[in-house]
Amino acid sequence: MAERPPSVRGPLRPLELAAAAVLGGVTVALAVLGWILPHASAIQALGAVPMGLVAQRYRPRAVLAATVAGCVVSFLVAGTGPAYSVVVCAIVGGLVGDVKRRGRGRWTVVAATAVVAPALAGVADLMLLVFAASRKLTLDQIRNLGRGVTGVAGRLPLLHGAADRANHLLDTAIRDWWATVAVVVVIGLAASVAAAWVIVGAVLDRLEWMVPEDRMEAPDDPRPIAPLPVSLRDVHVRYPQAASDALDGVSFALEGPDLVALVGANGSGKSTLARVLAGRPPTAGEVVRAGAAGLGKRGGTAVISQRPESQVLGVRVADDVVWGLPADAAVDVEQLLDLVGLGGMAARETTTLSGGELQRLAVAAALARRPKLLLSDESTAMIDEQGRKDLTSLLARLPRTAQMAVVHVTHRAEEAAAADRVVRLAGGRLLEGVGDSFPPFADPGPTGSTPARRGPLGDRRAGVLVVEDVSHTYADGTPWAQPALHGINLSVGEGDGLLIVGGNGSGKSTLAWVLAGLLEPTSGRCLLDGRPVTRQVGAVALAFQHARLQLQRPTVRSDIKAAAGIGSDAVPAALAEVGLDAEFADRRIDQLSGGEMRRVALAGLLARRPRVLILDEPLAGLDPSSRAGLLSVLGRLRDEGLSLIVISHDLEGMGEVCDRTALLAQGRLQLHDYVPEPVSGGGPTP
Amino acid sequence: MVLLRQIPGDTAIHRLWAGTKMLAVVTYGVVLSLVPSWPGIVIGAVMLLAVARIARVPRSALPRLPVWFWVVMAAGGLFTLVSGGKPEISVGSGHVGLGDLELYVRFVCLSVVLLGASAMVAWTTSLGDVAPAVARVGAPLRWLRLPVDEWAVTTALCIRSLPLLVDEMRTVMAARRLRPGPPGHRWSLNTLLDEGIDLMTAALTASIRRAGEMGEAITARGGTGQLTSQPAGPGWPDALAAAVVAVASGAAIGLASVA
Repeated sequence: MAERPPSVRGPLRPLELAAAAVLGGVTVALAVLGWILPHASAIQALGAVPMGLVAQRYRPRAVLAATVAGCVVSFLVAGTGPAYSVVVCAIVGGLVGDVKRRGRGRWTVVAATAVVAPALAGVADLMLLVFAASRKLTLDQIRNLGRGVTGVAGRLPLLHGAADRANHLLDTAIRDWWATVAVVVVIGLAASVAAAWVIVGAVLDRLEWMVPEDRMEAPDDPRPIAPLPVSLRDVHVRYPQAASDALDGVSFALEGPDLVALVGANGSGKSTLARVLAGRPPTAGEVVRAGAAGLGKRGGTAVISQRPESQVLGVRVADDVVWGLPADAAVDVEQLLDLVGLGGMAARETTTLSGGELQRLAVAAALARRPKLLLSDESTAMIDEQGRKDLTSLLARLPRTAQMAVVHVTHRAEEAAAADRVVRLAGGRLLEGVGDSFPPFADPGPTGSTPARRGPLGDRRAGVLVVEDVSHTYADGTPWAQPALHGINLSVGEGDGLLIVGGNGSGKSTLAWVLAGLLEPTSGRCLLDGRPVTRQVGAVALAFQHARLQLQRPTVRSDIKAAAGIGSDAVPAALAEVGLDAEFADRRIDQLSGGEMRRVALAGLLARRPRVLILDEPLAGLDPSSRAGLLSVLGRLRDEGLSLIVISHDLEGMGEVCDRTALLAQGRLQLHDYVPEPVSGGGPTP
Repeated sequence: MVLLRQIPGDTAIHRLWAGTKMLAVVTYGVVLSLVPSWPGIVIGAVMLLAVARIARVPRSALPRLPVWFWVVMAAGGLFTLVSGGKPEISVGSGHVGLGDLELYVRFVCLSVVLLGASAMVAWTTSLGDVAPAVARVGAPLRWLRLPVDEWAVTTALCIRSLPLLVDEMRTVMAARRLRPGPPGHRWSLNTLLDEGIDLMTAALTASIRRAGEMGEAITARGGTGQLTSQPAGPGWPDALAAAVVAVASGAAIGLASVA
């Protein structure tokens, strides 16, 4: 059972605000989608599910905030129609979710509906009374359409009587509109609540284990803000519901403006150590600090985290720099943006920035608070190589130029090179080697070396997947037209291994969608065995970067069965294909690690025996051991004759599985590095 | 389909305060709902065209509607023509009533004007200005001790996360398309329901994770505070715009009662 949130009063806490905004956004998206695609209007009813989730987990106050925000946003998108459905979803979802939060059963829902439904019917009647002219227009319209339909149907002798009766019924319903509307509202609401009770219940049961915790939240510290010097003595941290300590007796001190690199594999406790430095109280041990950590406060502690798009909160670049500052704080936004290399971009919308730019924006927002301590928690993990270089050199400059201590958490050995101090963690404990000598990680594969030559490649002249002069522009022909691909030519033969390298925004995801047949390009063709790939979706497998979105069933077994259309008996073989044991089939999807999710998604795709496998950023966010595991699986598949296309900003280790490299930049593709020989039908060779 | 994107530009309409534009649309929408008659619709359409001209909204910004939409519209018109109504005109040997058709056309025009008005706000307003405007417009509600600032923050975060959510939903649907249908392609209510629950769970898992990260990001910034670096408010152009909307509303109501 998920624990009920403690009953708190007062303003919404950060997690409640974020949940209301994001889940309210899901409702908006569903409402708008159902509104602009009338044949999908049933989708709107699903909007009650995210609202139900808000109501089940948080206070009614959060549901109210989600409703107001949802109304404003959906009104801006498509007018009053979707705004109205957001309100209905909020009422239905709110009612069901609140009953679930109180742990009550279906009779409570029935009782609540019995109260709410007549009240709503009254409100609807009242509104129609006020807007009498609109009511008359709409009702007349309905009557006329009805008369038209019955008029046509009534010409058939068989339907003559039925048409008369229908007309009579319609006239009565319209004459007594207030009763009709009341009945429709009551029945409609009751049906929606009943459906929501079933669907929300089923979804909530499956999401029950997933209760996000604000791991940054710390109790108030009344002392004046002074995050440094700080010293940790034998600190232990154990997260709620965890079986072991995340930090297991760590002693560590930080005094002046230094660059400290905190390195270790996934699960070594390095992020937890950063959170303790940011003010999270330890479960045991002692933290001695000059004053309060002052997270996010002026002169206190600032944090930059891993996921670029989640930590940037402003809609425009300049808004993000000041987001959350007290109303009286004045900041020279332009100067800060210059400092992080984003000069002149103040008015850009943050959705148009690349991952690396977003992370540097996060640094600017942190610097706006003039922190004494800056914590970078794996801030380089999800961005491309150039972005990583820019960000690490920016972080390395700060101790000198801005007089602050910087703690950079990373699993990359090379990023520790510039640090004044390197601290290694493993299994929640500090390792010796603090200081000058830093034992490097066993990293899979050489970086940037020549790609290794692999075994027999089959007949490469017969292109299995052929791309002919493909260009794609999003929103073509509108003021928002955004070109993504220009004149791409490509031929992938049987057993080929092609690495397409491109930075953020180079068009690589668009290319992946085109290759898999999920996107019809604006011009040009993409053919699989001579037929358009858009007509045979599924024949080219695509592993998305975000593996969780690809896994859609509760357990590994059911997901692989659904993904490949195979029976239970074939699942162990599918798992073996990606190097996982048969027992893995019983695991729940949501309890898998990032690396395991990628492998399970891969197992499902491979069990369908695709001709070509495309992988979008297969290594992003994986630690060295997960990387090595995935790479060895890919290498073996290649050897068995599968055509492989890897799309990545990361060259690291890919030489093992790919023998051709192509560079994608600003939507144009250049093939180079042919090993062992050029392929016919390819693009220009340098 | 492009949603919620500003048309780049710096015209008088772009420079109006976001609150003015939203209030103007809501006000005129209420007026049209009270008096859904031709004068109000025509005045609204004229204002829309004028605003589109000033804001230099290109014709290409209009969404291209699919064929079935026009088919449905034409079918609706035909049925109301069958239904008849006064006045009638004689066509050849028979009579055709146009009254109901007039009602139908009026109904459609009204919907177009209302939709166009809210699209016009989205086309000419930077999304970053919306939430601060909500905080300012809703300020009087603070007297009722309603948490207006909380709503503004939620609105800002909702606008920020919407493109990310839409992206995730597209990916979930695409991942579904890569998979085969149910065994034997037999779709029943149960498989549809199961499928819906599966897709919803996948999408919500991603959303919950994002909400968790966003919550931590808010905490890392020391809670909420400023929303924008350029606080905006109404100026004299806004007073002018408000006056235009007020006159138009008065005219719409006045002409409707005369007609």
